[in-house]
Amino acid sequence: MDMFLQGLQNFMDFRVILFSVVGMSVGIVFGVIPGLAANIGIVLFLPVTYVMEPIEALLMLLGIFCGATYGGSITAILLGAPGTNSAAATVLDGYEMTKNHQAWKALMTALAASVVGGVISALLLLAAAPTIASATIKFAPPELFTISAFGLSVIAAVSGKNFWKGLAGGAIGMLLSTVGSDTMSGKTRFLFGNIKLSTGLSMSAVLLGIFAMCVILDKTRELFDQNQEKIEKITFSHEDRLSWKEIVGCTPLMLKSSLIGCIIGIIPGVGAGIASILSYNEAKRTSKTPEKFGTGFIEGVAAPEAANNAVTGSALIPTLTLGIPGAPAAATLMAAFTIHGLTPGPLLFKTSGSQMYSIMIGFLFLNFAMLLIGYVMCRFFVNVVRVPSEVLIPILTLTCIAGAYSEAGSMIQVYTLLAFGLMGYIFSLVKIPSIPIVLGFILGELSEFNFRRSLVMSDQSLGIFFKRPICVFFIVLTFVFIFTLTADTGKLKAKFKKGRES
Amino acid sequence: MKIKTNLAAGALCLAVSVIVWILIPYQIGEVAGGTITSDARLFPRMFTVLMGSLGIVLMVMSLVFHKEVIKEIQVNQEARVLGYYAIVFVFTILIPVCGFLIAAILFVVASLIYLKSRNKWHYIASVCVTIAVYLAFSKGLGVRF
Repeated sequence: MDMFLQGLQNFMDFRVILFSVVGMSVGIVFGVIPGLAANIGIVLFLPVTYVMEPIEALLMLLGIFCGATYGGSITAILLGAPGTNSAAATVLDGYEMTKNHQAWKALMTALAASVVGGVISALLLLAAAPTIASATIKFAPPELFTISAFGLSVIAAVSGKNFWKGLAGGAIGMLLSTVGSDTMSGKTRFLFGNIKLSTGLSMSAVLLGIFAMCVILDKTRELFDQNQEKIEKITFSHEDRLSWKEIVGCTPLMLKSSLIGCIIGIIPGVGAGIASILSYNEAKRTSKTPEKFGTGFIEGVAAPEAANNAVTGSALIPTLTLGIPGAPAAATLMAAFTIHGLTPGPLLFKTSGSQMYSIMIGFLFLNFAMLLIGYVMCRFFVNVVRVPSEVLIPILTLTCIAGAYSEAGSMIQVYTLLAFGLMGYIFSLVKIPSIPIVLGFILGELSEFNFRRSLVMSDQSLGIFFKRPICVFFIVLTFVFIFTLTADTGKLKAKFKKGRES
Repeated sequence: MKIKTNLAAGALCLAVSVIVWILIPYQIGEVAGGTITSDARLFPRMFTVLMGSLGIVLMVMSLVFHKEVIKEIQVNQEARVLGYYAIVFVFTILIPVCGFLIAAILFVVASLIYLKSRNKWHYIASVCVTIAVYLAFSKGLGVRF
């Protein structure tokens, strides 16, 4: 209780609230622009947060996370193209509503549903995370290693169809994590004569290169690929409103979809995209009027939007308590937490309890703030999509490079960014997914460190991992996870596509 | 041009793993009389073997089981994308030579020309945003370029 009150007190600071709101607004903008997503927003603004206090910085980045998840629905509804993959299901009814001159109603439905989903997941985070953290506090290096190994198995889940390529990407990421000085022996690894690499590769430069530069190059390719259609200014009718009766009528569905999103979010590596598809299918299946789905039905917008925002908070539960990312964007947030001195894992709540409560309370505030920001700024955010790509591309590139440089005031980070950008580009040509590389990079160092500490404890015996019940549990879970979840997501997406085509 | 992505990815992983395996003794020192816990080469070797094995798996999938994912690319398009990347590279070379702000302004103008923008307001807006980004980082965040 003391930590909760102290956390609340730390949160009630003007700068903290200001940066949270700024992060939410930036996130919505990133969600609106097709091709950009929470990941890109987080990595681009990560260098900006170096001069901030940890709570301000992390709430700003969490604001980007939440805002981008909601923002994807705006383009999904208005243009029929989801701004982020979490809004893929929203297109089905959202765009139809726009065609039926009900664009504003669709946007407000998406906003209300996103807020409901986000608040429920934030409350779950506030209640569950400290409880789980207190249970995991006794984890020793063997348990921490098997948890990291389970986290690496998440690579299989996020790889989907590209299972073997995903694992290869994970192996590449793990190999990259060995660059620098070995903590156990002090030996340097892969420095190539450059002493500035002794502290390892810059995480923000790696993230900027793999995510942001790849997206920039993709947008460059699209620019050369087709004639861009000019997007006309979007206006709304005053008669097109969402009534209280409609909100109340959708509330049970939003609550159910939020629950689906929370459960999906806790499962590592699955993400908001699957949650929105699942909840849309479930809403249609249990609806009294399933034939209305796909024709511009308000429930077809409410269900996926409640679910995808419900993923945001619940995905942070395994991320913060176990150090296993609950969603792809959570992997980049893990990096952000680590950079700001709050290493996710079982010890996080013990060492930084009041700061974590500030962040969780701030996360709850963010979801309420999304209601006000979304309502006021929606009309302006929609026109962000009209920014021409030929202007956006160099500005984004410039921001990446300035961001990479700002970390240490050295060009080495910029060259790291360029190298990883080129690597990401080559990997995209051969379809090696990038999220596993990042996961491998983050978890590789942790797994190596805990593995070797475990061997010190057991006097070089590997049996230690099979004698401890929690270790055995996570080893079994790892194998089960790899074999079951990847198959299910593939079938689910195929079923969804088939339903959409019919 | 069609790329057999499984074969290409597998070959890439295998090639990189061979190169890294050769580099390990030169880049990572050995602890005399060391144990497995103090062996700095252990995990790099494990990850290298893992990457190489997965590369072989991908190549076998493609060549033996004919399970392939074909990606079609337009060589002209990719050449243009790499052309833009070259502009970015030149920009980073120019930063220590003529300062971040000048290099950045030259970069955005060159990019807009390369991306075939003909609207003068794009150039004006981009230069203004460039100056704003520079000021935000240098004055706002205290970054010394």
